[in-house]
Amino acid sequence: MAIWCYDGTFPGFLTLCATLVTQGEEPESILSADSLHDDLFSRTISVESDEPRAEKMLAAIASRISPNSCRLLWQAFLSGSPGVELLLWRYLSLGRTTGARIDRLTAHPAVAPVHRLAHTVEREAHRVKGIIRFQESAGGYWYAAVEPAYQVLELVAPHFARRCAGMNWLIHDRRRCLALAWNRTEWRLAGFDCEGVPPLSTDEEQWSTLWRGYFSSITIPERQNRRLQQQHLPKRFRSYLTELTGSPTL
Amino acid sequence: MTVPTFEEKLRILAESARYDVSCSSSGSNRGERKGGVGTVAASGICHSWSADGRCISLLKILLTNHCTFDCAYCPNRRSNDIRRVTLTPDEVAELTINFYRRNYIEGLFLSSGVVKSPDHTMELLIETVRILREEHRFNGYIHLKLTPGADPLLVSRAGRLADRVSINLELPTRESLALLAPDKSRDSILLPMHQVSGLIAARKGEGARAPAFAPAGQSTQIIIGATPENDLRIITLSQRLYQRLGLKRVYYSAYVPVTSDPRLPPLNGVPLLLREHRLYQADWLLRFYGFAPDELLDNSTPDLDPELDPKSAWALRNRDLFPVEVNQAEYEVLLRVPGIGIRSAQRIIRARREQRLRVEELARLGVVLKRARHFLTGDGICGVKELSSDRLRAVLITAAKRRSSAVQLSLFDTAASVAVTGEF
Ligand code: SF4
Repeated sequence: MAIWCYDGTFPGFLTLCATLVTQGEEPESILSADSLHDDLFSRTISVESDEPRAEKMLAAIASRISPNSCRLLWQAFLSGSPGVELLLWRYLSLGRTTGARIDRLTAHPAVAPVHRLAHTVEREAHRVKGIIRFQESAGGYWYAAVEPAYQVLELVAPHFARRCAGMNWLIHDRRRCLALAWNRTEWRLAGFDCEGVPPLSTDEEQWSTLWRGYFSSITIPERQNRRLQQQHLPKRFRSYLTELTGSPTL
Repeated sequence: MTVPTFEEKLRILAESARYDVSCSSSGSNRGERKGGVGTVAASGICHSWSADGRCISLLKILLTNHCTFDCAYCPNRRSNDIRRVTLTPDEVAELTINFYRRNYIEGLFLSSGVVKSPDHTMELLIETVRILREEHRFNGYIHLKLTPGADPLLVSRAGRLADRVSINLELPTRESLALLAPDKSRDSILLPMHQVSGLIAARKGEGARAPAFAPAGQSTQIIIGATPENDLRIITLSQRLYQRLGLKRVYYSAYVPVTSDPRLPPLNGVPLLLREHRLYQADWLLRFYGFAPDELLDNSTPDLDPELDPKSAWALRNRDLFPVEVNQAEYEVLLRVPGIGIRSAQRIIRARREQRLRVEELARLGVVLKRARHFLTGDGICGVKELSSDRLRAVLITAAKRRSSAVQLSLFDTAASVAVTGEF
């Protein structure tokens, strides 16, 4: 049995799909290099990521299947869910026979799960827009750390670029050791040290204290509902929320 | 008494503001100004959830909790012995900008106790927003409260600066208002409300370049349970506010006994939070599901069923209309199936253009079938056996309980929780 292997990036995955199409292959398994285990009984075929080829593939998907498919595939891919590659490959194969009609085949077993994954990722991105907390660093730029369930930094980039256009900021995905940086003109995603937090400006303490005070005062004591609060604030976010950390005023 | 610190003032003024419900920050479109701070997101963003489970989207605060009025239900009323503090318009503007930059909030929801006169209060509120918009070039969301009886000129200034304006109706009837809020006449509330609704309508007739006027619309709040009006009366009133005055939202606030006053009722009967929750559900049915108040309630049953959501209760009373066939039913009919919300109905319509849907496909589309399957057929097949109305009622009640008991007792006001409330 052959395992098709790529570098774990979206362009890498698209290159792999392009290769499968030209060679007329039907993969039984697609894995990213880092989730590959030594398997004596399988043959591994590695495909090198090739940006121009990936871009061509994306253009082909937009014109021959549907422009919606590009965004859908990308978002579902960002879920990093195990087996997502094969799922997306099946979606693509179906798309090659249906064309744009695939947008309406939402109940099809090869399409429905892709929509569902994309939707989950989008929801996480929407959440992250709210729970990011910027802190002003001593160096004058604004720093935020998060650990989202999926790799959503690029999905929230346009939002923060507009919202915080006049600030230099950096959003740090500490689970994936990635950072999204904005220099008031453009944003860039790059690998980043998993640990380091910059020294903060002297003002920062004052504002975070005020915010914590506000946060605890806005609760209506007669309506306490911690369970509901926790339902909305998943654990992965809590340690980064200014109002839930630091001096406990709750 | 010692002079309060800035932090203490903020805490006191947040406590004074917290009984106001609205925290929505969505649906505005003021157009962006280059070089300003911030934007307004199309769908509401929650930044946190307080320990009562409510979404925090806006910095909700009063300029001052001094008040010359004496509303019986309000902790800030003149006759209540509490600590009074005031922030200046500059201080509130500074606070807003700094909270906004840190992504703590989406914007500001500003209100105030009545100081000196309604006009003077309104001027202070407007000045705060002016500083934010003009000096800080703040582009984020602002919800500004109007003072009852404020001068029409001030009302129109407020609407030009804010994304949303609101004035609280407070109590459903003139008599109740006179009883509990003797300083506020019904007209001092209704006049600004009518004026704003007229100005919003007029703005719609002008071109895209005309200056914005309260682009996120107008809302109001009604206190539930402090006076004897029944649910039928309340949702009929809401329907009129939506249809005649074009309001965006009516908020219901379960009365919290913050003060003891002989005019206020003892708390008994249906828990108020649950009643409030049912009213929000009914409100939702009016605005998005095409229901009329008299379909949900009538004089023989003037209150919503505490055990069952209003759509399920309606479906139980109208079993002759079911089951509906998902491959044929119109969108409006699908929406009336318990358990099918707007998103599910849209998904069904889209998917059935390409293939006939059986119950199996519905599940794949993400339609929650627990309640819905008792009211529909997929390609002629129902999949569950028909139950007597009593049994069905019991099944629906359990299904709702399992969904989420925490959510049952909460308020909804955000895009995120729309997903929860939207699908009933
Ligand atoms: S006007 Fe009435 S409701 Fe408003 S702050 Fe004063 S007492 Fe409270």
